Amino acid sequence: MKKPPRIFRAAIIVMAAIPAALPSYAGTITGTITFEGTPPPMKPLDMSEDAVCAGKHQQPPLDETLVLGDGQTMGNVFVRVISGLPDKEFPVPDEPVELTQEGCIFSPRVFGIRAGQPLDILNPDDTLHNVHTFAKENEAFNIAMPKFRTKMTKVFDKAEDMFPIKCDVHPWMVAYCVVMDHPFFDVTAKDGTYTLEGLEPGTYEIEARHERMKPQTATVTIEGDETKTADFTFSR
Amino acid sequence: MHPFDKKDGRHYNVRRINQWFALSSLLLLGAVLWVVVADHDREWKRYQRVFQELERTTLNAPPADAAAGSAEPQSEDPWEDGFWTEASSEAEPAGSPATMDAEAAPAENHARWSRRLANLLRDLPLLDFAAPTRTLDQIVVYDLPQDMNFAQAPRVDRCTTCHQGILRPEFVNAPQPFTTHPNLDLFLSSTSPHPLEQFGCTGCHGGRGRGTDFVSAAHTPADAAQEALWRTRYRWHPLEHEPGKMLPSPFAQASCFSCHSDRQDLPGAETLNQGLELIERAGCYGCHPLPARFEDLGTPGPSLRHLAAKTTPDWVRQWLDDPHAIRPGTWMPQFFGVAGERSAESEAEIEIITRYLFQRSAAGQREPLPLSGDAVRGRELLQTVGCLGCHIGPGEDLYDELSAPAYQRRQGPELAGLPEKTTAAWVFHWLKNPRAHDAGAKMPDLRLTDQEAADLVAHLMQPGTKTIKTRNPGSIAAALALVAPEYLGTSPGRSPGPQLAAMPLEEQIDLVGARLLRHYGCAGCHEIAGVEDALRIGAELTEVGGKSPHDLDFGPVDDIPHATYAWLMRKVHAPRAFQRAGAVAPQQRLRMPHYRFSDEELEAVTTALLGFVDGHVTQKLHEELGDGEQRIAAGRKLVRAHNCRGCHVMEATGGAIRPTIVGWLAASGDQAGDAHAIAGSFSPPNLIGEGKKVHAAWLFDYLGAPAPIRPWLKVRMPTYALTVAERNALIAYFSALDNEEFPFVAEADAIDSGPFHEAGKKLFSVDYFDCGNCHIEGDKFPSGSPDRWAPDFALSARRLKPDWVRAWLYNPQPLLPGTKMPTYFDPQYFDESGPDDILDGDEHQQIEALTNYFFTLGTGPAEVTSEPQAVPAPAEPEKTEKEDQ
Repeated sequence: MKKPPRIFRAAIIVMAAIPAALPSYAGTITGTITFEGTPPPMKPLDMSEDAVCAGKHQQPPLDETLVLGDGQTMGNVFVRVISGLPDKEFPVPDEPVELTQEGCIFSPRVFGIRAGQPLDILNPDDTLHNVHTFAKENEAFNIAMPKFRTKMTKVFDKAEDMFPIKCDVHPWMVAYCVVMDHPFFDVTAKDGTYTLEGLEPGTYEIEARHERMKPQTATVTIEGDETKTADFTFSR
Repeated sequence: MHPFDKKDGRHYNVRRINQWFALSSLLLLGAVLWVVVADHDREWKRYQRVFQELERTTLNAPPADAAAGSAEPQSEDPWEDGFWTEASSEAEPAGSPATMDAEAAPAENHARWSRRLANLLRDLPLLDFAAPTRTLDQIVVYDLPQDMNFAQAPRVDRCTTCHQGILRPEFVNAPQPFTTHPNLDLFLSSTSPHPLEQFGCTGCHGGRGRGTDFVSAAHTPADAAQEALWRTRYRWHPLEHEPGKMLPSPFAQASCFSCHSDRQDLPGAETLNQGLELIERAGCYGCHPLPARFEDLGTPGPSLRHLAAKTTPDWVRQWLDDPHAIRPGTWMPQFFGVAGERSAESEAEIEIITRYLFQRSAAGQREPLPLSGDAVRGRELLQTVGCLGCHIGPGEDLYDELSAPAYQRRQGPELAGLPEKTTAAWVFHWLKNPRAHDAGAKMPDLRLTDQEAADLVAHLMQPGTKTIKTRNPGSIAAALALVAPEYLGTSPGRSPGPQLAAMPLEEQIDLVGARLLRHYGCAGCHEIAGVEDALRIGAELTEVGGKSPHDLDFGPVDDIPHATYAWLMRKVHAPRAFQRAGAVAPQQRLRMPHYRFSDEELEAVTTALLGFVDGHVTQKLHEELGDGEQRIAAGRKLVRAHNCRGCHVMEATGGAIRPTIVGWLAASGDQAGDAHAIAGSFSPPNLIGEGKKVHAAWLFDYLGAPAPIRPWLKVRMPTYALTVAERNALIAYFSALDNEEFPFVAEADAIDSGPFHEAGKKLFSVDYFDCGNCHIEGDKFPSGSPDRWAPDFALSARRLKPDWVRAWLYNPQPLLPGTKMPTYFDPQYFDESGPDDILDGDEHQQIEALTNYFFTLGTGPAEVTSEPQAVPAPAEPEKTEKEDQ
């Protein structure tokens, strides 16, 4: 596709920068994600090799690969619109997304961030961490965070599907990141619910994705300011 | 009476003669006009006329539309009737003046029109002798002479007369013959290594350079469909008496080899590289004398001196009958039943050969299996220790893949079907010491403990699905009676029967078996007792690419073009297709076995064979390798022979084992979800920049006696039986790849006291960079499992070069993409990346201090082999091997 002339591009940016000029929409997709079947037991993490990490927890924390709430609702599922959005640019928020390594666990474990939005990575632990991204579209990095470096800021330039972020010093530490080029995404909490707000009328394909399981999709049509529901069920 | 009719003493009739004069002058006039018209309408002039129009439209079109405009003709194919169709040739000039009028200034426009008029005049019939715009272009190439009746004449190439756009990038989408040559940076342009003026066209492509029309240039169609098209479109027919026909386009890379034969592989000539690799892997050099690069490669197949200790006669019979039925990926070709000649005779020959091989090989002492193993652990070992870099494991299917990694994994035999072939004890002893069984074995020593070997045996000897038929071998006496007369008798009438029958059976088998083995050339690939002195049986192929088809026997085959390339391709595809019907005696029969190459492989092998030509033509342009390149070539040969790329990524290719590591990680518990992401950390190291990284002397020792450097790796660098010369060649190769001086090394001058040393020590400490969190420091081990340990500093200091260590500290990622070593000095915020309270927060100084301190760690006695015993963790297989050896 040819790029539009510079003046148009400038115009697009100007228009994108004035949200007030855009009509606001109130279409919403929501839903609950549940796990079907017998969940595998989640093992406690063995942090004994680093006394600093182990000392930050009263008892060994559990592996967060599968986080289930009452009624087997699933946490840490990434839900997003994958098609049906209008061909326009959505303003990128300036406020950073925060990823902390408190207690030698990445938190949040699953998160979305906009391309161009800053990511603040924190090291409140009094130990050595390293932040190793396995991105393919964006430049992968592997930066050490010794005790004296408590914060660094990184930006992903391009939209990218889910990739892991690991710490090689503490092999149990992992987070999953999705870089988005629009704001219509959410991550479920333990109660398994998600909400995608501000959608204009149209037909959307949405995807629910767990770090280990096969992604699922659903098609939802929004007519006006309404709320539609799309639930997903994962099983092993 | 008309005066002309008067004879006046003449013996001829004036009127009649005037009529004849009139007629002949008319004929002459006609002929002259015909000459003018024919000359004006020569095929190449028509091409040039079309090109001039194309040129005008292409050049006048606005830049943005240039690509689209010139792409158009391709989709419509203007050559439907053999020449540019009226519509396309007229539409373009009609369209272009309009755009010109709109954009050009009137004065410029006027000049352009008058130039067009002048050009029109210059090309008018009869005026075009002076300075026509359409001329015959020719290039005289002195460096690639042509043999013209034994005289060396310069090559004259007129190809550019029609191929007008060949050097001009703007015609990349133009239709043939105007298309730009691919890759002008490499070919034809004056700045490329192969400038047109020096190389011409036919030096690489073949063909008749002096030809000025489609047929007389000796174009060769790539396939039957193209041939049919050309026959109707260009009235094409083969030039029967032209020896130098053009190479069909799929084989174009063949010519690269004639000048670049000293290189081991040629970037960009992938088909040629594949063909050369296939020729090497298939062991063609076992029978055929080939160009120099195929010398000193050893025998392609295993030694059969100990066959009796390894397998059973039943297995050998079936193997000889159809090796691909037992192992679809084997390089062993099929000798019997190739052209449907399955017969009692083949059965008899197989029986005699089998008997001979067992009679002549030592059964050896069948030592028992010393201990029993665990198949589950064996399976994990198979997946992790490195077997799958060279072998295809049981249950895998890679045979249809033609990629380099798939070939690398076919370096050794596939590991399915071992129980049918051999015994657990044999596999155990083979794993423990391959060279005890076969001194020339390619299989390296993996330094397995007895228990590990036994575990692997337990896994590999699990019964598979294949079964070996117990064949009724028939009577050996009958077999001998059937075969012996053919191989021993000199004429059909004289049978060796009586003398043979008088010999003991064993001697009979010995005599006839040896004849059979010599006949089929078995000793070309295998070491076999009794036929060590056998000569290679195949035709010499060092100049096969230059052979005239008239020197080749097409036998009954008449469905392929009468051309060398077609003959070679058929020969490799169906080696006995050219067998004539009357050939009965063994000496008359074709012997080449069947390799079952795929179509793509056939094309690659044929390309390589076509590249084997008489060297004196290209003598002047033959690429002479410099010192460094010679070292690289010698190293590459070794790298291929030992299949280093089965495990390591070298020169950006290789690492065939990696997908199997991903598979193992994905199937094994904890880290399954990130198998792809972390596979790099568990794979054999990339050897990118190895010459810059390690001291040559260290590498020399390491290649002789490898010991673990990366304690977290389960995959193990095996011990190869490399000679000193080979080890030297390999270290020279790595140095040459990285333009490092060889064999001189820069030693580090480490300061081991004072504030600078203290600063480095502080940076190393747990309060700052905490290097010991992952790295082993002599006898100090990091906490946690060895999975996340990093190389020993004491060892590394002896191993690594100072410049490399410095670069590594600045940013390890570019040196080894995907490494677990994090970047401490984030290039994005370099000035803020180091601690502020050391060396005034100067990051460059901090890196110097770290480098200095690093090399003070290596001053102690750091023997390459001393480290493994010191490691306390029992989980690591490397730790225990020393005790067992």
